[in-house]
Amino acid sequence: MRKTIITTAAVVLVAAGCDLGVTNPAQIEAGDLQTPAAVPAIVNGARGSFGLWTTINGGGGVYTASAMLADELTHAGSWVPLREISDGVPGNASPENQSHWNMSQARWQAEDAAEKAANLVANPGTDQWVALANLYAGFSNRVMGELFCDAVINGGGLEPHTAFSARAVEYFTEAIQVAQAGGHADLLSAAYAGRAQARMMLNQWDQAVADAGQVATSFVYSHIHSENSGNEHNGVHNWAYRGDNGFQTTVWGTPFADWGLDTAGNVDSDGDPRATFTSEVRSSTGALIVGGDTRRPFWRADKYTARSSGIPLAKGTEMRLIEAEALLRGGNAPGALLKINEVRAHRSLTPAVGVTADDVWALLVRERGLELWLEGRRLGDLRRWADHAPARPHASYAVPRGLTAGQPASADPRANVLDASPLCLRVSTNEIFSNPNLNGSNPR
Amino acid sequence: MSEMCHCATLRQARAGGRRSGVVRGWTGLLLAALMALPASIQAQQTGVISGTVLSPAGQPIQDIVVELVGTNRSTVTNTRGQFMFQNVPVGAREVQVSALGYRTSRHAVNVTAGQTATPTITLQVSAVALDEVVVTGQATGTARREIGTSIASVNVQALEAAPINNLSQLMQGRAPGVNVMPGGGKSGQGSRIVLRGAASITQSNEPIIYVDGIRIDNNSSNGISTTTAGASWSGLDDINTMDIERIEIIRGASAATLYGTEASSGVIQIFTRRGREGRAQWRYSGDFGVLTTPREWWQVSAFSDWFYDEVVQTGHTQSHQLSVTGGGENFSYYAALSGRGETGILPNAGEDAYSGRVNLTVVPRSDLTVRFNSGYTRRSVQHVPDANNTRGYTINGLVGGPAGQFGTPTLDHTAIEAFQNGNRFIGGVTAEHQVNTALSHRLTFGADIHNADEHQLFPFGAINNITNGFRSNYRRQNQNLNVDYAATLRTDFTDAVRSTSSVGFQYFNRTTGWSSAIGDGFPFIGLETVSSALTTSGAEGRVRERTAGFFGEQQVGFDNTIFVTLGARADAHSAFGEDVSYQVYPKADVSWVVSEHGFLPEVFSSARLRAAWGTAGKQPTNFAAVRTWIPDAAVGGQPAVRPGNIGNPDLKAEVSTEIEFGADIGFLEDRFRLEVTRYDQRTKDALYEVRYPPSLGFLATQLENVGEIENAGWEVGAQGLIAEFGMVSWSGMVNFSSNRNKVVSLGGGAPIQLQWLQWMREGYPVGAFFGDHIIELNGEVGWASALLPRDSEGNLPEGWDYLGQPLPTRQVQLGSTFNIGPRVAVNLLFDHKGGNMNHDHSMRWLMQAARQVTEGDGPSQTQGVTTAGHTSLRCRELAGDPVIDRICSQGSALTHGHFAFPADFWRMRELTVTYRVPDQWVSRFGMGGTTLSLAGRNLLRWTDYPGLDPEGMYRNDLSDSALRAHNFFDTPLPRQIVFGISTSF
Repeated sequence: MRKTIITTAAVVLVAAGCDLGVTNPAQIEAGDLQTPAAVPAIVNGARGSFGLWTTINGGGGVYTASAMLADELTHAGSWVPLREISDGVPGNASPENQSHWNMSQARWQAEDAAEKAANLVANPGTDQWVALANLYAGFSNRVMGELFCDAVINGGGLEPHTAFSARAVEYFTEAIQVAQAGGHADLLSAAYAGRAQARMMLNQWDQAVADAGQVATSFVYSHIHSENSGNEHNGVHNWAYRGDNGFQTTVWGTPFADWGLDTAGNVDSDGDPRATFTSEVRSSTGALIVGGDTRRPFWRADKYTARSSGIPLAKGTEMRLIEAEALLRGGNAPGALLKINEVRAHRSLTPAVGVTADDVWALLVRERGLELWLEGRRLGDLRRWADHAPARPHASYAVPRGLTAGQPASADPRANVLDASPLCLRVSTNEIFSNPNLNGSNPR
Repeated sequence: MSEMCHCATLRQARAGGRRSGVVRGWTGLLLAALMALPASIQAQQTGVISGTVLSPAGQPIQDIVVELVGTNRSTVTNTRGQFMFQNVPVGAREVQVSALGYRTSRHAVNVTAGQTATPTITLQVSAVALDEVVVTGQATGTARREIGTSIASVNVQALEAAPINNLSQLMQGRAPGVNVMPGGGKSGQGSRIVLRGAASITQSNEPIIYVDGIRIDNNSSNGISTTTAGASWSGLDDINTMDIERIEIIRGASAATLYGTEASSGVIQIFTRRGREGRAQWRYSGDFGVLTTPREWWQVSAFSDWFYDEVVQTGHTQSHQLSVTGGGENFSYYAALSGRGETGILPNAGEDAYSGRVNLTVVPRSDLTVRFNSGYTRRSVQHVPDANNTRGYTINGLVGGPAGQFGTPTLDHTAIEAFQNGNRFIGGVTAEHQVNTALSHRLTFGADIHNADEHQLFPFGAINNITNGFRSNYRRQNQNLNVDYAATLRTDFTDAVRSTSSVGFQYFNRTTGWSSAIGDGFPFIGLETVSSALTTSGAEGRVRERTAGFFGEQQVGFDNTIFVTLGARADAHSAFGEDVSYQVYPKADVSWVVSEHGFLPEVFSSARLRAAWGTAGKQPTNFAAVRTWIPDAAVGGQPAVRPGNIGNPDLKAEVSTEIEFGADIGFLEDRFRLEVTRYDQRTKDALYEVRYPPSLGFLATQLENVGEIENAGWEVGAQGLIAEFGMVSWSGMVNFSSNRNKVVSLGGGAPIQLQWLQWMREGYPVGAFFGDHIIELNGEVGWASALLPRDSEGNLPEGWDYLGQPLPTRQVQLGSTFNIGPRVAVNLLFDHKGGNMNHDHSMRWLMQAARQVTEGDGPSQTQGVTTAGHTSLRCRELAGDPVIDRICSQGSALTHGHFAFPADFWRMRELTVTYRVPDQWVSRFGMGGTTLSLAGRNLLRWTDYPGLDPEGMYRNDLSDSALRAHNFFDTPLPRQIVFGISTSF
């Protein structure tokens, strides 16, 4: 009897194996990354996160969100958090708002990659992966410094948003040193350009101009987007084009509708090809498509025509405009105009004309807008200009903020874009409630 | 010991001698190999017992278990109430008849050589079933009187004529404390089941499911949920209801201890039909029906009439089943083939299911019984794009009218195809060995293999949003393997004191793999495969997890009236952290059959008091204990990694501890039964998704054992024979259950947002709704946050934004059965849920100011239907109410609390009229036991809910979806009217 039971139990145990290991061939444990062979994947992962959080998650990433909070795009869809941003009242509690702050992951990951790469490669002082990781750490911090209201770094306390910009300068400096020592020319120019951008946000104009001077006007360094997978797409393109997202964004209602080029020819336009859009998009039945809210016209932004369109991170043309703004701030409007026209010449556009400093400020505001349209830069520019009285000519650009019940979109109330409250993306409630150093206090 | 004790009979049966066998029917050929097993042919003189079992009203009762006392032979009655034992040794014999709802009784039969004895047995109604044997939650089959917990049983065979399409519908309203949430009225849409409220904050609150001892996968496969949002299916519905004999339900942790980790939300065990001794009996059951929704159930929008006329349709159902059952003395078989088809109430919606089952029971030796179970189901569901989905029929039609809401005319969306096809095999073998009169043991091997193939197609040029089309294909393979072993030693210390000792173990292995392929954009019309698309992508995942547990149980019975049971189970699980080796779940229960002491008044014909304390667990999510990085591709398909879990080496199962006590009382010779249960359950170390600051880089929340939640409630079941008037009898049933749950602690963590209005917040129900909302106060209309008075520090009163909870606080079912003479029966079931709320996004979409349809530029020009005024009928009909006017004149947000509505309702869930055709009418065709039925489901509903359906629920496919109460244009549950016929031959 006892033998029967024991035998049966033994047979069953052997048959079952009683192996309690858990397997998933799609997971990587942290220790597996402690090898030089993992460095490309670690650094590429940081770059991938940058593309993901800048353009995809949260309704087109921080690029699309900041474009609507600024005056580059208007919301025309049904997603309420995006409408709140477009109405100039950005929240910080919705899943979309959380996604915007999750740009923190791209920043942390790039900084972590820079550290890991430096510890794992044979020659960290010259290695291109080390330079690249530092470059993306710089760009991630630069983006956050320009777009977010406040800074929180690695679970620390609340700091001014320029803490990100200062951190960006440090990483760009490291990238410059490694790229220079290793002879990585493109990375070197990109790092100089990035540092110039960050220093501009810090109002360090002399240093910014010095860095800008290291970059040729024709230089462009873009983040690579790809058809390969959804996370690699150019999400700004997706959110501008794809109706399955509910036609959320439109050029209608923005100054770019006046400045840019409407390929449908319906809108009175100056026809600047750097801001190309289409005011007439029709369905397969020929019906004119309106926004997902069924109210606002759907004017499609055509800057990025494919999911694989790269988005510039640094351009020599912007370096000239940085030099122009520095000159303008220094009271040299004619000098600034020359720099602006250097850019326009590079774009094969007719020279701009400005007589007074105000004229040139208005030209600069417009020229930076067109040159950097939908590259995630406009909000940072507006914040910088809002704090600098001579640059407030932008007050004339009133954008749609809200709606009037029962009235058509043409009656939507408008307000100065600078009067958004706040004119920046907010630290998310996920950070606020989980970070003991913030103690649950909502800074805005 | 009571002579009614079924379990004692079973023990005697297992100790019986060898039996001879005679193979009958065509299936005998198929079983010839099995018959080679040891069996002796008796030479002694024998006779036949061929009896009939009748109800008190004289109606034959089918599927009644009849045992030949003193042997291990048993059978069940056929549709004429007939049973037969052949080769019965001559002499005085006894047969025992037992069935739910009737008093177990024994009858003497005198068997003479070569003759047939024909006893007619009339059963007495008994609402109390103390001697009914239950299996679930016990190491071995045990009579109810010995168990200190309440285990619900559903006699499915009694529901044969009821309007039931799937297992979800079958479970609805059958037992107190069982909450079946249908989700919506689309064909093939699965339901979620919650027993006694939410035992977990983050993990699934659904019970684990066994079929004949085989653990099955109830994952609601959701590979294409982006298109079919809200329309996921349930693996439960792969089980053909016509194959089911009965269901046992463990509702809480106190009875689920022996299932250990994963069982804190309860256990449902399904027993399929088995064969019976006797000649092969064939049976056909079929039905035809229609599905409809009244126009008024759609009245939420100015476009509702258009939608009803142009989109909503009458659906059709039909099902057919052919089964055969029979056997000899040492084997029996049940085999069935069935098919079911449905077209739904929206275009293209439909479901087809085909299934087959073969169950064999073999008794190769008098001390060994082997049961083979095998079932196969192929199910295909064509989903309708719906719910929170820009391609949904309902959201486009009801918000945007004919022109649609998102740039594509509503009716164009019918070009979208979305299928979920599944093949499932459930098979197992159970061997029961009676070593001697004291010792028995049982071993079960089970396998559930489920392959799902899900695909969706947006044809080229059909949808404006995706002009070039789109194709995706998702395939999921799941394999569950379980091994269960239990040994039981019964010892009678004295005539009055009996010991039952059990030990055993359970091993469970789940392997899941999935792959997906996506093709985006076709070059031209007519292409429908992923590979023919312009861009393609693919993905794959594989996971394997295991649980192993050992248990022991000791029961002591005193005088067959008092039973005390102690037990424990120890589990190891692959999802536990590396610092956690195993987890122990103890239990204890007491059952006292008070009525057998003789001191109760005569009106109490039976009474039992019971109390139980027990624990069960819920394992963490796989890999939550490990710090991981996720492989990825970036910047043009280059290798990349990104942060995954932060990891927690101390992670373990959350443990639910439950105290349950109650009474089962029979009145007036068990004509009435009252069952009352009180339960208090507390889940400690509740798994809670702790969020770490995003600035630390890891965005995924990390499971930690920090929370604590409690559930408490009452369950009352009453039934009985209410009245008899000549040929008419009226039996009634009332189920009532209540549940109050609360998040006791989040371990100091911040409140966590489940979704939109729903939060986990200490002191409030699990998943409670919170949100600022428009109110009227002192003649002012505005946001509650602005109008409510604040304290001296400017704070609003605690709970100012609390709105309600997602799970019902009460459920009531009222049932009646009218037997009119021997041929007509009418069954009626009303169902009620209340105390819960739904976040209704249909109302949120419709009631906002942007839906103000105007005559000027704006939607009216593109929508093509003149509907000047508000699109929302609620805004129109309640115009003048200042709160409604305010809501309807502003924008809406996901966090606006005034779109959460009470979801109380009453439904006439089932109405069935059955007519038993006189055998003489059909006997010339070789038929008998023929019944005709006309049945209705969801015929009437009463509710103040303003949306489409208070039972509608969006995203049923999420693991914690039982807590997510959202209605996103979910289709109303349709009325179903079915004509059925059933006959034997």
